[in-house]
This record gives sequence, C-alpha cells and structure tokens, in this order.
Amino acid sequence: MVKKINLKFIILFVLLSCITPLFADGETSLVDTEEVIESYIDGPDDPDSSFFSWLENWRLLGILLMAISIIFVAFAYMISKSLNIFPVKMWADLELGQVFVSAIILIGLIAILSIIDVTVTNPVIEQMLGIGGGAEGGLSDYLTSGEPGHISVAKGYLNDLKQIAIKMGKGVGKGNLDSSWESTKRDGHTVSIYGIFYFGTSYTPNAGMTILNESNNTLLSYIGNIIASLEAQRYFMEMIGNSLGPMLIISGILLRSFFLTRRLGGLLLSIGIGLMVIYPLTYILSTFGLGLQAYGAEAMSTQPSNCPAECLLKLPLGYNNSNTSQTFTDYTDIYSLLPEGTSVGEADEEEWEAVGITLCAPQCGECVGDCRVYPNHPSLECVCPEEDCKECPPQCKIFRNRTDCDDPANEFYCSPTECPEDCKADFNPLMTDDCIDCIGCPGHCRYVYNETGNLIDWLDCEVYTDECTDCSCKIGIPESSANCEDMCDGCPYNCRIGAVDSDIGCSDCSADCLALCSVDDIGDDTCDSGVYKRGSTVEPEYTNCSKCPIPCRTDFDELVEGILVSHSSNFMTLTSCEEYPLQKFCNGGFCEDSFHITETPLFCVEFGTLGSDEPDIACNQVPENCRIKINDETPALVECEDIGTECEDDCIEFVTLPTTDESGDALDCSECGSCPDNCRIISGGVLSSTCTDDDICSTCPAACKVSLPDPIICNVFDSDAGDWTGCTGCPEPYRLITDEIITDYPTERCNPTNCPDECKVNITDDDIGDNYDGVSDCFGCPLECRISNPSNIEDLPEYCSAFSDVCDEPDCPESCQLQSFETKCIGCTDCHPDCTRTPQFRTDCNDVCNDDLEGAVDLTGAGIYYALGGSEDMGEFGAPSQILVSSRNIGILLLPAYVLPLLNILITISFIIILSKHLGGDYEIPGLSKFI
Amino acid sequence: MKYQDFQNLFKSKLKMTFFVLLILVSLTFAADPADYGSWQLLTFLALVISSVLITVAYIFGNVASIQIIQIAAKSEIKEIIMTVILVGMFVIFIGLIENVMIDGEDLQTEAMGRTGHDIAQLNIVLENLFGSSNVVGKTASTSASCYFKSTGFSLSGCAGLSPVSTLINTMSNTIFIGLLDLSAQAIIIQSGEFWMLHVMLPLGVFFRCFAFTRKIGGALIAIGIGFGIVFPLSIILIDNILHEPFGYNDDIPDDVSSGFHAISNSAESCDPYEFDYTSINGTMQETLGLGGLVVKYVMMISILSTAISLLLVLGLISVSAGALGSPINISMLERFR
Repeated sequence: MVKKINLKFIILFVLLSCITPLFADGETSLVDTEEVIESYIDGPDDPDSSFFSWLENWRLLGILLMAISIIFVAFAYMISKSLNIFPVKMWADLELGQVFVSAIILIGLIAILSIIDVTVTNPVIEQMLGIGGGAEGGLSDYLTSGEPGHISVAKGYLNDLKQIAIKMGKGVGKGNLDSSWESTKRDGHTVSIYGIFYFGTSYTPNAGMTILNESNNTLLSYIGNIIASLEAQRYFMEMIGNSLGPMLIISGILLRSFFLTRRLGGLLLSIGIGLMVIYPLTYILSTFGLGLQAYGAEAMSTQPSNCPAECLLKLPLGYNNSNTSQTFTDYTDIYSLLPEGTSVGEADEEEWEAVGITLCAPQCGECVGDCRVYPNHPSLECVCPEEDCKECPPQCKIFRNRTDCDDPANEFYCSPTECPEDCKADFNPLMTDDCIDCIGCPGHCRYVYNETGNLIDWLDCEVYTDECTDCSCKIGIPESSANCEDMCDGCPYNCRIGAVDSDIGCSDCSADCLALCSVDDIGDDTCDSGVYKRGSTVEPEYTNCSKCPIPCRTDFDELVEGILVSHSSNFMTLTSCEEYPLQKFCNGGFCEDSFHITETPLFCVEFGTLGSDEPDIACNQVPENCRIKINDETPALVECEDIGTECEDDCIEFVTLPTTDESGDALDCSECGSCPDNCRIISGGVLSSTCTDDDICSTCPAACKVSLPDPIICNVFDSDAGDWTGCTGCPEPYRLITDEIITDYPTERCNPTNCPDECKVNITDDDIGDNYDGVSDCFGCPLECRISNPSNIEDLPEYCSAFSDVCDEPDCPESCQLQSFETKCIGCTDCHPDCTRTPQFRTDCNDVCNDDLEGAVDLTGAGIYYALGGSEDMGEFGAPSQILVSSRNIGILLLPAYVLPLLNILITISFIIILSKHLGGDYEIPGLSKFI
Repeated sequence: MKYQDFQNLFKSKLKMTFFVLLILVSLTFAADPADYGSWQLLTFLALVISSVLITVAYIFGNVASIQIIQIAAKSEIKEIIMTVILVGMFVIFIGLIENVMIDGEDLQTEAMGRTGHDIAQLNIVLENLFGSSNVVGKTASTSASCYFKSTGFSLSGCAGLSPVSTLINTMSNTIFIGLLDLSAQAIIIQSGEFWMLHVMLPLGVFFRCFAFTRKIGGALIAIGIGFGIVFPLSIILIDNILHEPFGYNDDIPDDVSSGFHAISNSAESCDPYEFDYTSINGTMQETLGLGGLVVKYVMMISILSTAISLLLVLGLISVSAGALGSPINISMLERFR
C-alpha cells in the first residue's frame, strides 16, 4: 500500500511539473500558444484570427487541456491528502485513471490522423494533383493550412463535382434561353393593299420546343438541388476540418475527464473522431468506389516501375498564352505563375485567361483521354468527338514518341534494312488537326496508296467513299506484299523493277501493280541505279570514255597476249581488257575511236625471253649487244656479224665512231689504220673478243674508240619476273607518258628507271578523252536483270543473259540485287507494329504499364464523372436526345449528391455509436433522425 | 516453445482449425493485384485475412498465456465460420439465380440491359411526343389577321389546342422524370457491381470478423448485398412480374405509338382560320387518353419499378443488418425513394 501511494505521488508530481512549460519563455512551441491566448484575450490583431484559429492547433490545445485536467486532479489529490479527505482522494484516484485513458485516446487519435495522412491520403493527393486537383484554389493550399489531408481530398472531390454541376447548370440555362428564343419565334406573311388594308397570317413554327423549356426548368431544379447538396457537404467537410471536429474532440476529452460529464464527453469524442476520421474516409472510399465503377480494376493499381517515359506523359491542363510551348500538367505549376496575392478559381476559364493562361478542359470539351494523344489511333477515330478534338489546341495534346525502335540495343529494334522506310505506314497526316473534313469517314477507310493517292477499297469502305474522298487526313501506306500478290497476278516479275518505258513483255501488268508494286531502285548508294531503261533503244551517253578504264582504250592488245588492265579498285588483281565486263563501254558510242590509243609501245625484249618459238618478235633472238650498229650499218660487235641483226631499228642503238674530241677539235685517228670499226668498240673495258690482233688496233688512240652503250630493253609484262627492270613489271597499257590523268597508274613499276620512256607511248589528255571516273556496283546491269532469288531468275527477260557478266558477283553483289518483292517488307512483320509507322508512336502503354497508367485513371470527381459517361454539354440542341443526355448527366450526379452522402452518414453514425459505447459515452443520440 | 507444447497445441480440434487457418496466410499473397475483377475472390481474401489475424492473436494468447485473448479468438473464429457460411450461401444463391433465371448472365449485366432497354423505349416515346408537340404547337399558334388602317381583327381558330400543348408538356415532364429515374437506377446498378460488391462487401466481411467492428461490418455487408445483389435482382424480378402480364414486355405499347400519330393527325386537321371545335375536341380527347397511357407506361417501367426495388432493398438491408450485426436505422436511406 505504501508503495502504491508513493508511486502515485511520483506520478502526480511529474504531472504537476508539466505545468511549468506554460510559463516557459524563449523559442518553444508553447510560445505560439501564449500568443494565441494573448490574442484571444486582447482581441485579434489579424481580423481573420478568431476563436477558430485555436482550433487549427487543436492537437496542442488538446494536450493543454489534458495538462489542465491532470493539474486539476493532481491538486484535488494533494488537497485530499493534506486534509485527509478520503472521498476526494478516492475520486482523484479514479479520475487519474480516466485522464490517462483520455490522454491515450488523444495520442492515438493524433497518431491515426498522421498515419492516414502519410499512408493513405498522400498517394491519393499526389495522384489527384497529378491529374487536375479537386478543390478550389488547389489542393496544395489545403495541405499547407494544417487541415488533415483526407479532409482536403474529400473537399476536392465534392468541389469538383460541384463545379461540374455548375457548368451543367450554365449549359442548361443557355439551352433554356435558346429553346425559349426558338419556341417563341413567329413566322408569317402580311399583304397590304394600297397601304390601307392588311391581311396576314402568322404562326409559331417551333412551338413544340416548349417541351424543352419544361424539361430545362425541371433540370435546373435538379441541378440547383445537386449543387446545394454538394456545397452543403463540402461546407460541412470544411467545418469538420477547421472547427467542428477539433471542437468536438477537445470538448469530448475535457468532459470525459470528469465523472459527471463522462458519458457526454465519450459521445462527443466519438462524434469528433467519427467526423474527423471516418466521415472523410468514407468520401475517399466513395472516390475509389466510383473510380472502380468507372475504371474497373485499374483504379486500384499502382504505378509500375517499367512504364516507359512516353506512357507517363500527362495530358496538359493548360498552357501559357505568352509562351505556348510552356504547358502545365500540374495545377501546382500553374498556380506558381500567378502574381502574389492573386487568387483564381480552378475552373474559372475567364479568370485564367485574364492572367494569361488557357485551360485545356474548356477548349477541348469532350475530347478527353486518348483522344488528345497525337496522332489519333485509327481505332479511336470512331469514338473521339472530332469537332471537339479539332477545337482542342495542339498544346493540350501529347505525342507518345517511341524511340526504342531505333535503338539497336533494344529488343524492339527495327533496322532499316529489315523494314525499309518505304514499307512503313505514313501517319504524318494525323499529326495535324485538319481532319474536320473527315467526319463521317471511319478511320479504317482513310487509307490511301502513297503512290496514287487512291483510297483503298476494302472492308465496308465503299459505303463511305463520298465522305472519305475529300478527307484531308488520309493515311498513306506503301505497297503491301499481300496486295501485290493479287494486283500483280500474271505480271512478270521483272516488269516490276525499274522505270518502264514501254510495255515490252509487261502487257499483263495492271497499272496498279506497276504503280504500287514496283521499285525504281535497288540497294543502297553503292549500287548503280541502272544505265539502261527497260526496252529503251537509247544508249546511255558515255562518249568520252569515262566508263572505260584508260588502259582499255588501247588497241594493242592484239600484239601481246596477256595484256593486263586495271578496272577494279585493286590493280593487282588485273583482268584482261578483253575479259573486262564493261568492254562495251570502251567501244562504240561509249568511247569514240578517236580516243583510243593506236600507237603501240616499243617492245625490245631481252634475249630469249619469249623462247625460240617467236624468234622474230621484238628482237627476241637478238642478244642485247648485237642491237648496236655503227653508222647505221655495221654491227657494233664483230661476233654479231654472223648472228645478224633482225631487229627493228627502234630497238637498235646506233653509234658513230668519234671524229672530234670533247672540245670539238678534229681527232686524228689515222693511227687506227686498218683497225675495223667494230673493233673500236669497247665493251666492258675490252675490245670485242674477235679483235685479237692487238697490233692492228693497239695504235688506235682511245679517243677514237667508243664504249658500247646500253641497249634498249622493253620487255613484255611478266608478273612472275620478280624484277621490274626492263619494263617487266609495267603492264603494257600503262606504258604511257601522260599528263598524269591516270589515277591508278603503277608509278613505281613504270617509272623511267624501270621502264624507259623509249618503251612508252606519248599521249595527251585530248587524245584519250575523259578520265575514268569509276563505276558503281552492278554498273551496266539493267535493273530488271538484278534478281538474285533463284525462283524468280527464270522470269528474267531473255536479253539479261547478255549481261550475265556484269550482273553476277563480284561486279554485282547480292546487296544490289532484289531478293524478291515478298521479302522486301516481310521484315516489318518481325517489328513491333509501333515501329512500322512514320512517325513511330507508342500505342501499347496499356499493355506495358499493366493497364494502370498515371493519367489514364483520373480519380478526381470530374474524371470519374466523365469516365462514367457524363458530359458538360446537353447534346444536340432542339432534339429530344437533349433530354436523354441531360437526364443521364443528372442521373450520374445524383449518386454522389444524394445516395452516397446518406451511406457515408450511415456508416459514420454506426461507427460513432459503437465507439461511443467503448469510450463510456452515450450511444443513444436523441433527435439524430431530425438532422438527417 | 517446446515440442510438448506443440503436441498440446494440436490436441484440440479448435487448435487444428487455427493451424489450418494459419496456413491460409499464403493465400493472401497468391492473388494477382490485377485480379480485382471477382468480388467473390475479394470477399474470400477478406475472410482469409481475418482468419489469419485471429489465428495469430490466438497463438500469441496461447504462447503468452493470456487467457482472455484465447477466449476472444475462439469466439471470433466462430463468427468467421458463420460469415463463411453466409457468404457461401450468397454465392450459391446468386449462382443459381444467374444460371437458372437469366441464362448465365450476371445480375448486373442483365439488370443494366433491361434498364437500358427501358431508357431507349422512353426515348422513342419522347421523340414521338416531340413530333406531336411541334404539330400541336404550330397549329395552335397559327393566326390570321385583317386590318383596315389600324382597325381590324385577328383569328386564331386552333388556339384552343393550347391546353393540349400543356398536357403534352406534362407528359414530357413525366417522361423526363422517368428517364432521370432510370438513369439513376442504371448508375446504382453499375455502382452495385463495382462498389458494393468489390468494396463494401469485402470490407463488411472483414469488419464483421472482429468484435469491435462486427456491427458496422454487418451493416456494410447488408448494404453491399442489398445494392449489389438484391437491387438488380429485384429490377429483373419486377420487370418479369409487372411487365409481362401488362403486355409491356418489350416494346412500346401500340396504343401509345398510335396515340401520338392520332394527336398529330387530329391537330393537323384543325383549320386555324375558323373555329374548329371538332378537331380541337378530338385532339384533346386523344391527348387525354394518351396522357394516361404514357403516365402509366412511365410509371410501370421506371418509377414504380425503381420504387419497389428500393423498398425491397431497404427492407432487406434493415433485416439483414439486424441479423448480421446490429439493426440500422434505414429511415434516412428511404430518402432514396
């Protein structure tokens, strides 16, 4: 017992010490409380400040009151102890426990509200903010006001619906004016005779429209009630958050602390908790319930992490008029632009316009959701309100550009070779808004052939021919392999390649086939585009020999077999000019004869290099030393006299015996006596071996003798010689002395050291025409002959056989040949459908994001209303369908305006009654039914 | 816990039950979040979660030897079993109805279909009415005048048709109210499918498994079943019961369609340049006759049907809420009507 009392004393002492913060000074949180107390006593400095400003700090106030209760009980206990008043002591003992319970309840309530704020409402708020917010002034305002977040959300939801009802009311009012105007218009005729007699008749042609007046009156009555109901709920919610809820909680805590008022306190506390916690939550539950109704399971999904960025693009809420490229997807951003102190109602279009911001919702009307995504997917065009979408500014729309199609590292990569650009469907026309003239033309009937512009007649599109003919938003498609199969039935395969100058062999080809299922070119830039036109008798003009390699412009190929030319990029792989596939371009009209080199280079081959079979050719059988003559007659060497010099003079070196010295003075060679002329030749420092009679020639002065010169050696080209001297390494066609126009001239091999100028032909530019400018792959091969698919080769024209040398590899590689039409676009079938369009845009967001896109599910009151099928307008004016549309709109609003509030109240009251019982409060609430 | 303790734990059937329920915890992780489509699955998940929580509480009470928790858990598990039986009965009941009564369609789809049909029918009536209104209004407003200088007279021989216009406006208002009623009914059916069955009912089942929230759970179950199941069911039933015997099974009654033609013809026959009592009287008679038919038709297919359905639903909510937890005051819900 003693222990118990001591413990209680300690507790009471600690509690009593809690009073000290009230008098604390400095920067503590309770300073605000003191200020509040002072302002309450002295009157508010700020006119807005009032008793209710206390309630904004209801948590602090509750703790303060708890402290006061504890102090009060503690004092009572101390007095009873000191005066030994047992009943008071017992009372204080009992109350202390209740005060503890109240404290726990208060702390628990604060914790619950904080948890709700953090874990439940914040994602909701974030989602709503991301989509369009709800409450007037933006939800961010509420969040900073200290109001619980879930109450802000509930208010936003109600405000959103109220704004819709107001808009609807404005629409009905305008409709009523229109119908009144129309229904009272009178029409008639009056005839006047001499300006004295008047006869006339008149009637009201649209008198039947009074029905609309009646229904509009009823509608306005309903709308008025709905607005009143929603506004009352919103106001009640605001009152709960700002004053009623905190006041009830504080009162409940205070009253519950004392025995006499415990039942009332428990009831007030449970009502306060019910209103502060449960009641707003029932509205959030309503939001999600309606969201479920509108969107199905998507409303409960969470944001996936693998959702592509383009799928997360939000529809703009508005844009800056002065900088139209600045769009806003978040109301927080829009509000940040407002001048300080400016307040604009969220839905007030005119006020936003006044501050330079255009809101998208009024501009776009019923063009919502995916209808505001560029370009409209054809499947959507039947459901999108095209008039509204036409009016919807481009700034209010988005384009989900798909980039992974061009990324080789991505699994969806669609390479240009796999799916060429001309195989892709052109969606560019749908990137504009000029589709107003397409109304009535279904999306699937807007396809035209790129080449002809003709509408594609398929499915039921014949019915819509009139509507679609003038549509400016057609979708171009390239030749389709499937269609080509049909269109080109009977048309030879080759007829679909290259421009057709005549119908030779192609008479079975329809115009559509030739227009849509043919190609003008094959391969890439490395491939020749074709010098021949089908059936054309006109030869291409290359008369200056530009397509003939210079070596092949020579006519001496007949003289020496094995003459080599260079027409390929690597001159080491030489080919005979006769075998040159483009020999044709070195003759006739391609390379005039005047540009041919007719002069033959000199051949003075080394002794015996050609063998004994050809002894008379190019001095083959004449030793080099014997190709020297003295004074045009005598062989220079004595031993050559028997051999003979059957060698062309060009290969002979003619020497003359000296008669003068270096200074030009006459030599005295009388001492040479009878020394034969050919013995006055010194070869290698010695006389000819046959001149053995030294006595005869020994007296002959050295100055009267002459050294044996080097003979002219112009061998034929021999790639195996291994020695390039004597022109062995210089192909004959290159033995030219030119103005350096030969680009692939083998300089090292043919320079004068290795191949003397005597062995070459001297020419000028004018002699040989244009420089050779090279050829592309498949040059010379007609386009229609470039088919590599074996199954179609037999379909080639007969004349292609004449081109087989230039139409085969390596001169015409496979990359420059057509595989087949069937395979041209077939690669596109392996690409994702999004990647087979121009431009590429993503249409599979719903799939890749698990049907839970942010932005796709709009859980604001407005978003839900529209998703449920509601609209702002009243349908077509004057028609009875206007009544149908209006009744549907009202029917949708009746649910949140009347039905759900009652359910919410029912749930809240049930909770209050149960909680009150557990808190020791009353659970019979007399007169409750009168309030609801 | 020792092995002996485990043996003791499994000795009683109740403990075995708890063990089985604890195993069910894995099921709570088995559902794909995308499978929110089935309200039966959601309700089952709510039951499993409740069971798991109570089992955990029981084990905690057993381990910590807190008897009060053990007793409370034993009591709660009985409530869960009761709830399981209740939900199971409803599932079977709905399955039977859907398969026997409406050929495999689900209740909401069938009820929505019938409501949509009724809306379409009323729209047709409205179009006919609009046509007749134009004819009557134009004829009634036609007048002829003759003046000599400023003195003369004006004749409006068919002005007597104005009351007919008023009657037509009244009919239009009735149809409009009917359309409103049906639109609201469609929204309630739609909300019943998603909201009541997917949110309210699972939530109610979950709450009902705990003593503290049992009564509110019972109320939520009652509301969920009332609006999610009973309301569309009663719409279908009333449609079957009321319409067929009265011949309003599918299309607009012939006499309603022909009545509008008769009004138009009669009004058109009125000569505005002389007092045509016969024609006016004929039109009036036709309109009065048709007015009764239209009101009856609208009452039958919309207002009466909705009112009776709501009456049934609210009555059932009141009764079943009492049986499931605590009776709730449905007086406020009666305002739906």
